[in-house]
Amino acid sequence: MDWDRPGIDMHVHTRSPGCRYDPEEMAESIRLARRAGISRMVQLHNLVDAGGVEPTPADVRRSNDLGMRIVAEHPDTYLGLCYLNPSHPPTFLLEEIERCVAAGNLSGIKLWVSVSARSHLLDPIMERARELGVPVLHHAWYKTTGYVHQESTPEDIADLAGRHPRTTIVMAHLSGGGWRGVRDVRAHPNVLVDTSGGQPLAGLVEYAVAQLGAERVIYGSDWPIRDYATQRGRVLGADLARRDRDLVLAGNAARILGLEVPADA
Amino acid sequence: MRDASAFLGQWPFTSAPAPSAALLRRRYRECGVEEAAVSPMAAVLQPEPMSANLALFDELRDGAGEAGVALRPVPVINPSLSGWEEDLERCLRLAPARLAGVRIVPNYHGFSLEDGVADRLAEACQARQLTLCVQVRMEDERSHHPSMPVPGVGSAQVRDLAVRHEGLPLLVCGAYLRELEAYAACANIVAELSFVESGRLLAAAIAALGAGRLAMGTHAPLHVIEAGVAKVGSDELDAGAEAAIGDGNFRRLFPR
Repeated sequence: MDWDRPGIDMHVHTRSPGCRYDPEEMAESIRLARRAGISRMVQLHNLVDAGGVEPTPADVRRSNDLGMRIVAEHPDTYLGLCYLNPSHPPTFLLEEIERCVAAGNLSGIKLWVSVSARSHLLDPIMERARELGVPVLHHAWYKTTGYVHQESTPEDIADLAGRHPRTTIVMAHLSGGGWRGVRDVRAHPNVLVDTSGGQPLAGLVEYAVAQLGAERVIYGSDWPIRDYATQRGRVLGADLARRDRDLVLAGNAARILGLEVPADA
Repeated sequence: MRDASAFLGQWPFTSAPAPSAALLRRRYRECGVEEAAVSPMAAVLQPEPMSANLALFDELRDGAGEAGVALRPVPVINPSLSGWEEDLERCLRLAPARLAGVRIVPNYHGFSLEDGVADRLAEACQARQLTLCVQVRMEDERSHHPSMPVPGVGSAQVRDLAVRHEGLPLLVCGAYLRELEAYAACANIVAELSFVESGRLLAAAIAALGAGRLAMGTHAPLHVIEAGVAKVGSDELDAGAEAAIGDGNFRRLFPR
């Protein structure tokens, strides 16, 4: 194991209620990330507390205000994504992208479970993301126990990727999609998979790298639902070549977010 | 560092190949793990566990192997099967090292901890000074094979078993963080950490049970060993708490 290479975490949240900026929460989150060898993080805010599965425009703005505040307060540590509910009017969606990404300090778009990835309601978002050259991170999971609202599966993400082949998509939750999910998106080179969420299943990171190429697998933790060190450990413990592991832990996030790769600690 | 909960053998719901005992030892060595309590994976789904237990004993006959990592056998006993008492005696007689304990998998073996069979096994373990390891789940229920969902073992069942057998050391394997609170009042319950995860997982787990009742566990080979090991170092702990979770509680549960 090599614990000294600084990583970029593609998938973290906050937990303070009411989308409130909490300096103590941020300090603790940064402290534990540093301890785990994470130098930068992509903040997706507290979606559960921002209107639940069907946030209003006001909820979305509140969540994105928090994201922009976090990035502004910690520009050397955090990047952030702009949360959207695709069921909102296209004029609002595009205005919010303009406010937060084009004119603001957020670096991409986050979609959760408000609308299925198969819906054409996503099309203006995907098209604007392509124009701006920013990634869209989309939740996905295969669940035996039933789905939440309009939750998407990796097969739905593949459908979205096929409709928008020039937009970079990060499909969240490698353990949630599992082996089947990796195969679903294999034919779509514009899809990367983040390793966040779920149990640290042995062999799955290696399978994703073998099927997709190391350039399409990207470390994420899903903090604070999950733990930085545990989720990074699943990558460090994977049987990967050094180059591939470095791509997963930092290089790919740096590439799609326009960052420099962190130097060795 | 010592791993309180691991397996040897292939789990049928993953395509990741299972490591041999020798390879598992090498991986442990690379991660700084010097001892592990290991059960036979095949015993979870096969119709009787003894074939798998005996195969495990055979595989562990070379002691700590070249890597110098001790794999302590934890045979699986199904107390709902006729003749389980004989199975237990055979395991005690034939194991290549002192048994670390006995594991039960109630949800896969179709019995409840409220059944009398679990109580009889608990009494037998206590009489033989064996830790009883209760496997409450093997996988995240959300990701079970769609044709074969197996609910986890309810924490109230585990708690009530511990209350009825307060002199018996119980190791709960596979519990989620949110389930630990149910065990707070049972001083004879220790939980291993392989399924326990959140931000600040150590602080939360210690708040629920205390460092003296938590043990590092990896759930290898289903989970990545490095991920389980990383949990113990995920936050600043005083030296005593870290030593207890990573080492001391294992020794207490599984004395040589």
